Amino acid sequence: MMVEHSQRKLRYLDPEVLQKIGSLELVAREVVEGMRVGVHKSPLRGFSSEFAFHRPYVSGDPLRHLDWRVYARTGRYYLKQYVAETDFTAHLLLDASSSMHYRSRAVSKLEYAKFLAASLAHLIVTQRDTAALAVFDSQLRRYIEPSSTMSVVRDIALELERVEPLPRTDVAAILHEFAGRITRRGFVILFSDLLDNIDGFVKGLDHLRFCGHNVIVFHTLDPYELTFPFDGTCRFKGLEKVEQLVTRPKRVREAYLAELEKYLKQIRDACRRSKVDYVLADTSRPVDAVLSAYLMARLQSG
Amino acid sequence: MQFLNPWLLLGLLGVSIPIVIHLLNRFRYRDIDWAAMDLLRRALVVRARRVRLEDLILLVLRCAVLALLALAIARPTLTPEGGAAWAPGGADVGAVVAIDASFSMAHKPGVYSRFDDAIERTREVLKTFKPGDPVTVVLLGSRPRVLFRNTGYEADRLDSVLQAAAPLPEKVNLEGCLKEIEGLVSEIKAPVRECFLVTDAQTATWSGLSEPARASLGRIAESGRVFFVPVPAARSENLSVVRFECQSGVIRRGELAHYVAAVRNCGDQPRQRVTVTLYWGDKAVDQRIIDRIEPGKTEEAPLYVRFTDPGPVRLSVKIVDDDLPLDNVRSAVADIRAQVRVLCIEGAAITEAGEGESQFLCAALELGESGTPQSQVMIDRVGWQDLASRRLSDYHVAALIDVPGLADEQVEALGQFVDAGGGLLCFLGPNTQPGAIHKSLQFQGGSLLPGKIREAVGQENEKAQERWPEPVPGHPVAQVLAGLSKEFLSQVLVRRYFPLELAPGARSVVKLGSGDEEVLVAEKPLGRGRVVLLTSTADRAWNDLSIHPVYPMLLNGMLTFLGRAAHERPLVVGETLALPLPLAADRGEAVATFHAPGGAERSVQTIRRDGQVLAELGATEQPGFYEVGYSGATAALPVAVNVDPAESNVHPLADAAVAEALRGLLVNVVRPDEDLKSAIERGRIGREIWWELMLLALVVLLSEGYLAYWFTRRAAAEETPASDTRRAATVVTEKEGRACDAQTMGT
Repeated sequence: MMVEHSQRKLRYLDPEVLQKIGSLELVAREVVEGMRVGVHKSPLRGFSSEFAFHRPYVSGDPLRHLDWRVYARTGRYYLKQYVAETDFTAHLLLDASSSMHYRSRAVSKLEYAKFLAASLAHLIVTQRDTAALAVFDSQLRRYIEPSSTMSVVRDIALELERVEPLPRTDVAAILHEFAGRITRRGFVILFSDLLDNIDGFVKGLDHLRFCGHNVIVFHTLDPYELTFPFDGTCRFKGLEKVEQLVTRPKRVREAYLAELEKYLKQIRDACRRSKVDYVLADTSRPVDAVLSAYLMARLQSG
Repeated sequence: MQFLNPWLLLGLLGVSIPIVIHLLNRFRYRDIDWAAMDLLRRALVVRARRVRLEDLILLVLRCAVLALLALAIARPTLTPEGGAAWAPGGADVGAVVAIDASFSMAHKPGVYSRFDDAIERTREVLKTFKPGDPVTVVLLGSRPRVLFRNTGYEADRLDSVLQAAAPLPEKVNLEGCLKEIEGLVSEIKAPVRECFLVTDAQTATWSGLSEPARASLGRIAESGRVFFVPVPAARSENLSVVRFECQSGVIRRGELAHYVAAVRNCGDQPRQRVTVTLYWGDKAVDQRIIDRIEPGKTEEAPLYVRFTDPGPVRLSVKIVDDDLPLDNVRSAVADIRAQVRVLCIEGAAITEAGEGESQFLCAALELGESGTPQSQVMIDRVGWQDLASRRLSDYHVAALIDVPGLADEQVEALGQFVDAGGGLLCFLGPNTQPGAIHKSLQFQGGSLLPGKIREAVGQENEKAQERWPEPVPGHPVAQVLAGLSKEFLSQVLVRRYFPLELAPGARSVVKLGSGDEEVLVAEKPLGRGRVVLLTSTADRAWNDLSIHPVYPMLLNGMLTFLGRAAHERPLVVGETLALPLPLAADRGEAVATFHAPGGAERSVQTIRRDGQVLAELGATEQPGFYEVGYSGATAALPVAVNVDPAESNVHPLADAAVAEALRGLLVNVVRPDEDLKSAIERGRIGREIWWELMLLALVVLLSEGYLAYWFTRRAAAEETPASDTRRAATVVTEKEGRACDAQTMGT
């Protein structure tokens, strides 16, 4: 793998993971707008080999696209339309807020998300599409411009290594900002624990979808957040807010899990409604397994 | 409400344990950095009030479990005032049944003895108990014998115990037994405690209760109900041998000894022609018939026996069997010596003609026999300065005759001689200086003599101050003179003597007047031997004793007494048998073997006490002859043990006398003709409720466990209907979302 552009080893580009997902590809289901010819459907017509449909000639149309055979049979002027194929630009949005720093084992949610982001960036560039990275908390902190060269993968990987936890999350604001910033329809891939205002997040998703973007949400959660396995009396200290709660987790475990279930259901429902891909990334699972499962599911669903 | 174990109420402090744990848990926590605070806060909002309420309920239940357990082990009881009368179920009773087992209870005028009746009454008492009620059954004798101690009532088991019980050949030691019963009653754990005294209400035992006995009964009555249950006693006829002892004569080989047996009619009818037989071992050697014994009177029968062979002799006297056979026999032991050797130590010089102060003494002891080796008494005479030339261990008795004093080593040898079992006979006289003799005869920190000698009183020839001997009843030496008339004794004049202040442990045997110090003969034990002191002269210088016929009688009595071994003293059943053995005190431990009259055998290690080697068996339990064997002995030493004649009067107290005896004590008397069952069950109210409390604690504990489980699981049932879908929906792709939407729209 050509992932080393310098002597330095890039931590978040794990050769094993890249090898396992190397045979898969991220394909746009909806049209995307690219600068180059690619494998993805383009909204533009005419410069491809794949016939799409006929349309009546209107004044000003170039004559070289007239279908003379149809004219010979019908005496009317029709132009042949072809489906255009292009590349896409994928914006990887990484939530680097303090809540992402939580870990119950070796890997925190943020690090797990970094692995996901780096691996996907490599996959996207490898299939000759364009990748960009945005790191945010309550506002955009870092941004790497879109590029389809392998160097952007290195840049993204280096940038990910530099990312440190930041104070607070505001996913909705970032989604709105990117909906306005990205001019061409492409991919927006979000890595976050979504421990934020769900209504704002849903509106952000809708905004992106309204702009015609393919959106994928990697919901990164720690296994302890999913099972709440604590015992005894604990004082929980908020990572983002100055807040403390003293309780006996065993007694509130079921209530917590019920709240969690309700919260996950809201997110899943919102994603379904907005036609957004939702992936629950449990940090106890291998990164390649999560990515493979998702990409396979996406390929199979067409 | 009362508590049987009130001090265990301290366990109520255990209630604080859950509270302390609860409080500690509130302040002991671990810190966890947490991201999903909103979710947790919402969960807490949902559960907080309920959790607090549930925690409070669980805390209260846990405290209640501990409180109930503490109360249960403190064993609370419902008293009649506390509502026990309204509680369902019968009373919880614990009882001590004390059965009089003194030998008067063996009185058997018909088919059944008093003890049989007592057992029957006891069965009636026990029938009023429920299985499991704590019961103690004890036999009363010289000490209480517990047959069944604070054990749950089982009819079959108790019946077999009662079946095997038998009267003891002892007198009831009422004070000691009641004190023990007091402890037995107090150890019974029951709301209603009862004590039953099943007895023949014998006059000798129950009339005139001593203060300690009354105090014990009072304390028993304070801790429970006391029932006095007399058994029926229709007849009280009984003849008893109350005394059997050597009256006069000398117990020596070939001599005729005069014994006397006293027979008492303890009944209400006069008894005619009572045959009294003296046995040497199993052989009858003499018999007398007492023509008539009036009720309540004692008649004596003289009995004679001639001892032919040396060694210990077992003598018994028996009368015909009657309703109470145990007291119809009485035993004694006589140790016959082949020859008694006496060393006379003279204070004055002995003339060549053999005259001296001991001359009369020798004549009286030898009774005409010359000092031949075959004579019964062999007497050696020696001047006090030549004492060192004789070996004291060759003699049975040493006689100090008007000795002014002795050298220290001679006193030490004399003391050791007496300590080892020898007899010392002392006569005073003109050579005696009270201060000097006391200073001289010091042994082991005390005087060899039985008291402190004052300055002599009276004159050698004084007529006006003449005194004559008066024997003190009860002493074996005085017994020799007891049968003589006062006129006969008044011919014995004592003109001069040394008044004597008796030392502790010393007894006066013959007195010269009513004053404490007017003593002619006194004695005291010293080690295994004895010392007898005659406070006048051995010759006729200060008295006429030595020329009077009573002199040889008195001297031979003294010789018999001084030569008497420890095992010749008869014991009463219940007395401790501790026999000094003729073994050197510095010898190592030896083993002595006791054979009881019933055939039981027991070996004990000898012990050393006060310079003697003792074989100690403990309390005797059977009348008859105990035998003691030890290493080095040629034959076993017999010891006679007799029943206490005080128990032979089997008359019961009349009802009025019982009431009088128990006046002021909370004792219920149930007469033999009364219904015992109804008398007992009347007023028997009181229940223990520890079992119910324990059950309640268990119920509360189970409730707490169930509620704790339910509180934890209920939330899950109510709030997580679809939790299993959480992980299943890990990946939701856009197409699935569309399908979902279509499905929703279609619906």
